Amino acid sequence: MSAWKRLFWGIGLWAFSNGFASDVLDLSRMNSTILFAKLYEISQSAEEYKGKTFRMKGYYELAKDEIDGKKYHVLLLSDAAACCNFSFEMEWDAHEKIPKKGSQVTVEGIFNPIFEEHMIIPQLKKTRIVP
Amino acid sequence: MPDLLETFLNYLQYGFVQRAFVVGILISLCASLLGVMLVFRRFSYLGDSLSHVAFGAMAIAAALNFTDDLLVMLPVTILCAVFLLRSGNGTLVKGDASIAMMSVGSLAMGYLLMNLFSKKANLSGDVCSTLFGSTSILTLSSFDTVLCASLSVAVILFFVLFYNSIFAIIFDETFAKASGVKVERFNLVMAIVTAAVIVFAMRLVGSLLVSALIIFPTVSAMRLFKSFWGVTLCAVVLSVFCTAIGIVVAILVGTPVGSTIVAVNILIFALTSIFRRVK
Amino acid sequence: MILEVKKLLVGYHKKPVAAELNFSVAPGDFLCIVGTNGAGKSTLLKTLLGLIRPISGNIIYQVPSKEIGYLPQQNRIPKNFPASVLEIVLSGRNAHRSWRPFYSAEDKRMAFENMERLNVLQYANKCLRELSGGEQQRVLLARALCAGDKLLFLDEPVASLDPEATADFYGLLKTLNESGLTIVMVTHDEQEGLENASQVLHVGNPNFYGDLEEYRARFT
Repeated sequence: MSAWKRLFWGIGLWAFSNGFASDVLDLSRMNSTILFAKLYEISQSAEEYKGKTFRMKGYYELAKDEIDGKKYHVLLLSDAAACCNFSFEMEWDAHEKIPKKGSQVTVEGIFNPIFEEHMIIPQLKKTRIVP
Repeated sequence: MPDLLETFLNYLQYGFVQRAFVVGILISLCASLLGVMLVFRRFSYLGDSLSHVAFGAMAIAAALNFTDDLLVMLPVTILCAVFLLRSGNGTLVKGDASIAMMSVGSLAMGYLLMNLFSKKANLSGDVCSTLFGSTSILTLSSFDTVLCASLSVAVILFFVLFYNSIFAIIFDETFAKASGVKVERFNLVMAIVTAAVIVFAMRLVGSLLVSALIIFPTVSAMRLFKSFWGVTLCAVVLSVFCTAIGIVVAILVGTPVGSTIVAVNILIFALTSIFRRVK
Repeated sequence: MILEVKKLLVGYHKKPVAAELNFSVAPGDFLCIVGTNGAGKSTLLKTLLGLIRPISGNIIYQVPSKEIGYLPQQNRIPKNFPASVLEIVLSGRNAHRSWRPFYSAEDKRMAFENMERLNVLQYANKCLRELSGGEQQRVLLARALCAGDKLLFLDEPVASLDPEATADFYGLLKTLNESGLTIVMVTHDEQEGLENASQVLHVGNPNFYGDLEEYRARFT
């Protein structure tokens, strides 16, 4: 295919996929560079993303809050150098089977930012595992 | 290939990607002009040292809870630049020792301050990003973009309008002064420009890699051209090219932006060196 | 008189490096400034050019600074600096540029004229480092003439040249002097350097200023 044809198809596909813009923001196939940039943007305009469905890939952990002793389900996203880590708190969907701790999972959930004093806690509600 | 292209066009819709390209290209343009001014005056390491000072200033800003660290970084770095570039005139400490002291001191104090005072959760991530520029160029706000763009335009204008005086000063400062060029004033302005460009360049490639952005384009260009005008133009073109390619590769492959840009610069340098040999 | 110097004390940080100087330069003169190392010759030259402030005394020019050229000591030019001969010679026209950012057609014409005069026109697009020592000095001389062509100051111009290039250069200076250029040259070379001098200023203990014959009588 010549370069011009490829460009044409590329733009066409892009327009096509946008025309069919689904409500799921797919972060699961992004490489770490663009993923963390996107996550930063989401954290800066959390209100706008509230209620949107995110699809993400990361590691499942069960974390214990040191202050109040409560247990939290956490999805851990880390970059190649493991120097930037981003974690989402998860509320599993009613009938969802909880995966093994430390395993890699791809999930979909509704983004629900919890606004506390100086921070925003990123939470996913009704989280389901997707293939 | 079409898959990659589709992904790239997809990413190009994101505001932060567009801003990254615009600001990245403008900053690398300015950095290459800076390189032309610094490399021939044997001040190549100044970029590195000033970026460490800027890092220290950023730590102070974080410790004092400034929302916009540029307010601290810019004045502190500018003051240091002015001090360092003028300290050749009879002050106690000689050139490279004073640069080294300031540089390493700021880096150490900066890191210490950040550990003592910062309330941010992801401290090592921030430090890593600031030092190596993994994603900082992709996290710019619209305000940052406007600020960077204005600065870049100012620097470019300065260089274009005063090109002949700058050349005269770099080539032979004594003769320039004797022929009426206001050398003192220019040195002051060049110090300020250096500091400002370095502070912004840190957003692109991180503190530790700023020197690369400044030095490589000029040195590569010198292997291809023999006139000052040729070298300047070539350095600008190479710098912008390397940054654009670097950002594209980084967002498609997932590598840290800063190191990728520097890697492309190194590749170009190797190519131009080979070209020079073969010719 | 194109230049008059009265009771001049030169030095750094208010410390004079030479005794009081009194001399004058008439149009068409060829003044050589000699003296031992460290006697203050270069300091004097830099003071005359306005690069250093005099400690006391008067320097009176009858010629505007736009007509004064200067050839500095050669060793300070960065070795691998990429600059074409044309760019370097043109940079002499900075003195005439005022507020305009770019060189005018007149500036370029003067540059080409001076390059031709000094036989370096064929090197216009070559890099300075590709030329021999003698050729480099001629390029810098062309630059000096672009800055000003009534009065020329030279600071040890043949210090790094071989004997043949030195003789060539002196020949060039003689030709320029005979066509009306007033020359003030600081030199170490008391043999051949003084051949074309009309006046000699000896900076030392004590200072001496006079004709070439007087100098020769006194000092040889």
